[in-house]
Amino acid sequence: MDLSLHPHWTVWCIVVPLLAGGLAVLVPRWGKTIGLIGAVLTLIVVGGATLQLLSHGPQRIEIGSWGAPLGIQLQLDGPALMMLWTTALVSLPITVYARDYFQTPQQQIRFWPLWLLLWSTMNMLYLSADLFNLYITLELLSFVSVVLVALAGPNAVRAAIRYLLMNLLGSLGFLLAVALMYGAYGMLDINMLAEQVEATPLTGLALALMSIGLLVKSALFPLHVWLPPAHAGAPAPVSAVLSALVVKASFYLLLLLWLTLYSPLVTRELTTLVGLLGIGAILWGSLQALRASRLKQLVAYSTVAQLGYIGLAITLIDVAAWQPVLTFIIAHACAKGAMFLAAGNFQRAAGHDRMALISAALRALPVSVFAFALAGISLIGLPPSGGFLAKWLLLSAALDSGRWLIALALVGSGLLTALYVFRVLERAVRPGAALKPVGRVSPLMEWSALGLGLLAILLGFAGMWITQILAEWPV
Amino acid sequence: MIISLSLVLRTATRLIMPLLLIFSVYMLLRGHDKPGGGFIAGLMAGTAFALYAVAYGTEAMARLLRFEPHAFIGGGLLIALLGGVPALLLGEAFLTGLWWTFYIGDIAVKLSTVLIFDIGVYIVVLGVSSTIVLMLAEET
Amino acid sequence: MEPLLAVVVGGLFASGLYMILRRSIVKLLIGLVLLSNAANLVIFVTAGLRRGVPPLVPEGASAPLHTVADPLPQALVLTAIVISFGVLAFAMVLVHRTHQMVETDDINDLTSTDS
Repeated sequence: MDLSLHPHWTVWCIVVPLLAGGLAVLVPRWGKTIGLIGAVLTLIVVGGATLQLLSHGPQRIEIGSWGAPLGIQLQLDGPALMMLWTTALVSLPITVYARDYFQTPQQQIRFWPLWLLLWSTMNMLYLSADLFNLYITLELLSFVSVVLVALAGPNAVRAAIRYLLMNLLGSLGFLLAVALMYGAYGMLDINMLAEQVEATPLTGLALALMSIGLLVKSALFPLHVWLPPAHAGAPAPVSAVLSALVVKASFYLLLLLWLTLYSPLVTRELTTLVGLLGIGAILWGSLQALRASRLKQLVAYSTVAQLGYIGLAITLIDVAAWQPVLTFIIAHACAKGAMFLAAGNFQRAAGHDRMALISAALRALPVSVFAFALAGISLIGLPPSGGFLAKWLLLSAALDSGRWLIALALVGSGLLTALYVFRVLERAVRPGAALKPVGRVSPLMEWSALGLGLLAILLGFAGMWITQILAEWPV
Repeated sequence: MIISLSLVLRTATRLIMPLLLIFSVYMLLRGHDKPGGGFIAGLMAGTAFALYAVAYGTEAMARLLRFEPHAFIGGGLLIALLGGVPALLLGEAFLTGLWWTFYIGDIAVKLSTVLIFDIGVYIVVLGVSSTIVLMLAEET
Repeated sequence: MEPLLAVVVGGLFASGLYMILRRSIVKLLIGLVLLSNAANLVIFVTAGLRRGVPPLVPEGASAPLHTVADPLPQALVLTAIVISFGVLAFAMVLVHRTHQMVETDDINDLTSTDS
C-alpha cells in the first residue's frame, strides 16, 4: 500500500496533537508521557505530509467532503510545509525541556493539554485555506497562549491580561475584515478570492483592518507593548514557544495574504511603511535589550528587534517573495527557542534572572551558555548559521533591487544584536564566587537548549532545500 | 459561593433540573434535521448544573458531576474527533458524515457519525460551562 | 432594514470604542463585548435580511426555487458568537483574578510590572 497516496496526512497533522491533548486532559497523571509521544507522532505525521507533497504536489483536502465555497478546505503547499517542519522541529526540544521544567502537578496538569492544543492550532493555521477558519485559528492561538502565560503564577496575570486585551483587539480587526470580504465577494476561500479581488475602497479597508490586526498579533513596533512583559513573565518553555513560533504564525499569515489575496493592493508605499516600522523595531528593541535589567526581558526585547527584520524583509516581497522571509522566520525560531530555554536554565539555577547577579549561574552551566552563544551567532548573522543565510538572502535581494537603505539597516542592526548578545556572554567569563544553586537544572534541559542552538547553526546548510521546496511548490 | 437558603429555589431546582437535562438530550437528538444540536444542548445542560450550584452550592455541584470538569472537556474532544475517524477508514475525507437508517416499526431511526461528533460537542460544552461556573465561584 | 442595522452597527462600534478608551478594565471588557457583537452583526447583515426563505431545496428539484437567504454567514456568526463567548468568559475570570491581586481595576496600574 502506498501510504503517501492517502490525503489524510495533512489532516493527521492537526488531529494527532489534538487527540494527544484530549488524552492529556483525560489522564493528567500521564501528561508527560502523552506529551512526548504526541510530539514524536506529530513529527512522523509531518514527515508523512512531506512524502505526500513530494509525490503528489500541492493538495487541497475538503473537510467532511464539503467543497468550497461552502466547506472548509485545507491546503498543503511549500510554505505551509516549511512552517509545519519548523513548528515540529522547534517544538520537539521544547517538549523535552518542559518535561523536566514544570515541577508542581498543578502546572503539569494545565501545561500539557494546552501545549498540544497550541501545536495543533498552529498546524491548522498553516494548513487552512479559508479566511474564516484562519480567524478561528488566530483567536484560538492567542487564547491558548494567554492561558499558558498565566501559568507562571500570580505575577504573570497582569502580563497575561494585557496580552489578551491587545490580541482580542487584533482578532476583532481580522474578523471585521473577514466580514467585509464576505460582504463584498460572497466567498471565503483564499484562492477563489484571489482571482476575484479588485482594488476597491472596501477591499482596501478590509486589507487595512486585517493588516493592523495581524501586526498587533505579530508585535511589530510600535504595537509591541504587550510582548515583552508576556514573553519575559511566562514559564521558560512557554516563552520559547511564544517567541519562536506563535508571533511568527501571524507574520506568516500576513505574508500569505499580502502575496496572494491582496497582491493587487499591496503597493510599494505600504511595504515601505512596514519596513520603516521594522527599522524602528530594530532600533527600539535593541536599545531596550541593551538596558534591560533582567535576562528574559533582554531576550524578549531581542524578539521585538528581530521581528523588525521580518518587517524589513517584507519590503522586499516584490522582488524576492517568500524565500528570505521564511528563511529568516525559521532561523529566528530556532535561535530564539534556544535562547529562552537557556535563559530558563540560568533562571532556574540562580532563582532569578537579574542581569546584575546572573554571572555565577552562567559559569555554572557551560552547556547552556554554549547554546546561548550558538543562538546568538545565528541572531547576529555570522556564518555559517541560519541567521547568516537569511541575512545574505535579504541583503542580496536588497542590493539587486538597489535599496541601499535596507541593506544599510541590515548590516548596522547586526552590530546592535552583537552588542546585547555579548552583554550576556561577557558575564559568563567574569570571575566571581561559585553559584549556590537554588533549583536543579536537569541535563535534558541543558541538552534540549543546545539541540535547538545547533539546529540554528545547521540551518545555514539547508538553504538549498528551502529554495527547492519553495520553488517547486509555490502557493 | 453562598448556598441559597431559599426553600422555594431548592425545591424548584429538584424539579426543574431533570427537566432541563431531558430537554437538553432532546435538543441534542433533534439537532439532526431541525434547529438544535450539540452546542445548544450542552449549554442547556450546563445551565442545569449552574442552577444546581446556585441552589446547593458549588461543592454539591462538583460532586454531582462525578468527574472533574476537565475530564469532560478532554473526553468530549476525543469523542468528537473519533466521530471523524470512520470516514477516514473508508477512504472519505475526515469528518465526512456517514449515515445508517433502520426502522423500528414505522419509525425511521437515523444514526450517523455526525451524532457522535455532536455528543462530543455536548460533553465539551457541558465541561466548559461547568468549569467557568466553578472558577468564577472560587474564592469569592 | 439594512440601513437601520448599519446605524446600529455604527452605534455599537462607537460605544465599544468609547468604552475601550476608558481606564477601567471592566469597562474595557464591556467595550470588547460591544465590538465583537458589532462585528457579528456585520457578518449577519452581509447575508441579506430576507424573511421566510430558508435555503432549502424542495424535493425533486436540484436548486432552490426562489432567491434564498445565504446560510453561510449564519454559520459564521454562530461560530464567532461561540468563540467570543468562550474568550470573554475567560477574560472575565482573568480580570476577576487580577482584581483580587491588584485591588484595582485601573488599567494604568497594570503597566508597572515590567521589572
